[in-house]
Amino acid sequence: MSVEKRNNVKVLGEGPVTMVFSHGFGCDQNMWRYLVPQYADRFRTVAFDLVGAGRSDLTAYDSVKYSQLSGYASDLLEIIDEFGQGPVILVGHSVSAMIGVLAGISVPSSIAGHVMVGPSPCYINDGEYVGGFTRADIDSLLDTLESNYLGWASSMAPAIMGAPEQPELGMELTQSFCRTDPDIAKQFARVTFLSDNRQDLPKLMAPTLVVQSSDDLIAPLAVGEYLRRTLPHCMLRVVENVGHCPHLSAPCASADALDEFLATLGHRGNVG
Amino acid sequence: MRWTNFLQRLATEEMSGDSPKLPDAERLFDEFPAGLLVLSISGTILKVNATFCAWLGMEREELVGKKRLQELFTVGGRIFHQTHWLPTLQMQGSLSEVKLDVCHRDGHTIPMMLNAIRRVTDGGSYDEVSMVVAEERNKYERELVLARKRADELVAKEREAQAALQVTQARLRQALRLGTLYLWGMDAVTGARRYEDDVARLLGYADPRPVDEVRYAAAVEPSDRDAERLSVELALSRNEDFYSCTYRLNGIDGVQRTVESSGHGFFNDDGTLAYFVGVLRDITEATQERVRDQDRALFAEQMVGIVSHDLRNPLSAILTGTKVLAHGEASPGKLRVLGHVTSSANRAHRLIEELLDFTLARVGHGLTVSPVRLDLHAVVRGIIDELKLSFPDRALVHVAEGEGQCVADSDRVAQLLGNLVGNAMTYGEPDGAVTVTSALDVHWASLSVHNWGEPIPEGMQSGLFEPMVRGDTVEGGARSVGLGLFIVRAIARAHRGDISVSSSRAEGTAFSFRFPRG
Repeated sequence: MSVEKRNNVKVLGEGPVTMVFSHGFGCDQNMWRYLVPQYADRFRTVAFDLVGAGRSDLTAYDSVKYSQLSGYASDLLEIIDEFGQGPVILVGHSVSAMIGVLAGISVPSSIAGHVMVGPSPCYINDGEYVGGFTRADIDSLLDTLESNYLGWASSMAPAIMGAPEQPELGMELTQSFCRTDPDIAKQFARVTFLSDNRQDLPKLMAPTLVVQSSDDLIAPLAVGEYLRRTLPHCMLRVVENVGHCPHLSAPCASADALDEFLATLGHRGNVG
Repeated sequence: MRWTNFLQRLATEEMSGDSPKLPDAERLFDEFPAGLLVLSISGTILKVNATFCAWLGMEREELVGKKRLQELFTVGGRIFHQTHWLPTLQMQGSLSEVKLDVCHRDGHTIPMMLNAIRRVTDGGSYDEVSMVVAEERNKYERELVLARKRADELVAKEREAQAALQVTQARLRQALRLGTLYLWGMDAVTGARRYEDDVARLLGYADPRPVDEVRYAAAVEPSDRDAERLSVELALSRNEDFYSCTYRLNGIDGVQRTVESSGHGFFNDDGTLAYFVGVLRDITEATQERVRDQDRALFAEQMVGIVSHDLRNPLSAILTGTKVLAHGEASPGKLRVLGHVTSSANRAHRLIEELLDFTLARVGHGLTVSPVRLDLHAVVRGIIDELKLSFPDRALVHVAEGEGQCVADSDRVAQLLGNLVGNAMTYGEPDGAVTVTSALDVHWASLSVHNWGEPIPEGMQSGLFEPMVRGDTVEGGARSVGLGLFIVRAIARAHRGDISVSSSRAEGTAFSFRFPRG
């Protein structure tokens, strides 16, 4: 099966540097629709859906392979290998930031710079470490997913309320946005929220930007601070934003941080 | 009185039914039978109706401007809100039919269904949310999830069973192939027989191919057909057990094969046939082998019979001749020579008898015995008296234990004792006594022969009763070719008994023959 079909890979723009956009737990590559157009004029941009999400090939979902983040990391490396040209900057949201860490450690030459949007190496509090959640909290999330069984099959479609004023997505895309097979969603939630990649952070030698929301339940400020201390080459930028998706609800501030980071790597930012 | 009031009110309602007084928008919002909220895009509650406040046990003042909607969710719900709700609302402007648990003031949770829509105006954006309690749907969903889990488990079990079945089938095929067995079956309703493709080999084809009932039936040797049909019918009509039948098949390759067909019918509770499973076994070779064995055995018996019979006559002539010569006037030297000739001829006679017995026991139908009821002790005493004559300078003792009669062939008993006592005299200590014990208990009769002296090496004891084996290297002029103990055992078995040996320096050597009394 082709990597392109498996991960629904979309390439936009051309440039000497490739930016690869990897979405997090919850939705799909449409999360990047504000950010990608800002870079496609001078970068080669590659966006894709994690297997099990969006319009990826669900038949490629292997519950053994994807029972660990390393399964997703090996997919990411294949995508970079096939679609990357020149140095690759990975922009990973949430869990995809850690998938990028694993990929970057396993093949250091694959990713020249990591942009982590709302990352967390470990969601559960552990001694001194503040992840923001207790194990019971995570079990509550898994229970929420479990009990919303019908909702997963039918929720989120905007149809019954008539056409909203400003639909960002056409009908075709809303069919798949934020919808997954309930069993896959459950497993992905388990893999994501029970992951602990704190040991891996010091091994990542590539330069890193952490884009942190000022008010993010999933990745609290303490986590951003922990990352800055632990990653060998880390720049931390806090963006005024409520929620876990600054690239959606604060796209300009997010892009500013990104441009600053790109400039340190010697790539032309957004302005000019 | 009250009843009258009620009727009057009903009448009033009927009359004013077409034009009731409708609430104004604000009251409608407040008392609407659903939780209604207006939120800032960060989730802060800007407006909330009384219904929602009442459901949560909270005052409006505690909520408006002070709480974000997501803060009323469980932690799981709040994560879901961030990962799904917010992005969806942002991207598609609305979301519907989301179910989340909302926390009541006292801590318990209420499952609610939510719809939300984002309004974008010139002055900014806000979200409208409606919520309804979904306890029943929640229960229903839980049941559904459980049912699905159970179904998944059943499917998993079914898969396991299928896998196990495949293994079993593979084993069966292997076993069938190794045993050159073939399967056939019978239709429970029509009685039609079905044969698996491999059965074609029994019909003389080189390769498996479909075999139909008619073709198979035609291949059965005509004279065997009735018997076969009869045994199947019997098996089916009796509603029980096994059918087994041997018949011949005439192959298209001109070879006639002998087939053992067996089968088992399985019946329903009402006695009707559920299914019938049959196995065919090619026993052509086994049959041929058996016939060949029988031929060989018969031939050997005949040969030995003829030879020994033919040898007996000249031996008798020699013995008669020596008797005649001894009666005349013979010098002591001649008499000694005659004595040698007589004993040699007698030995040759015994050898022929042994050879005849050996042949019968080994390749023929077994040694023949003619058991009769007899007094064992008396018989043994007589035999001992005779044996004493052969060993005049040795001590031979008889011990009798128990009493009564038993069933045995006295000639064979004499043969057995002669053999064992002969051995005891040859291999035992010359100064020690040889003891013959005859014993009877409730069920068993036994004879044992005991001697002192060099024990039989342990390694040799087990093979002692095989033909051509000797206990050790003592040169004994009286020994024949090592058939003695083999014949002793054959005699023991012909009496439905057995023979055993125990031998040690401390206990001496004892051969014991034990057999049922009758």
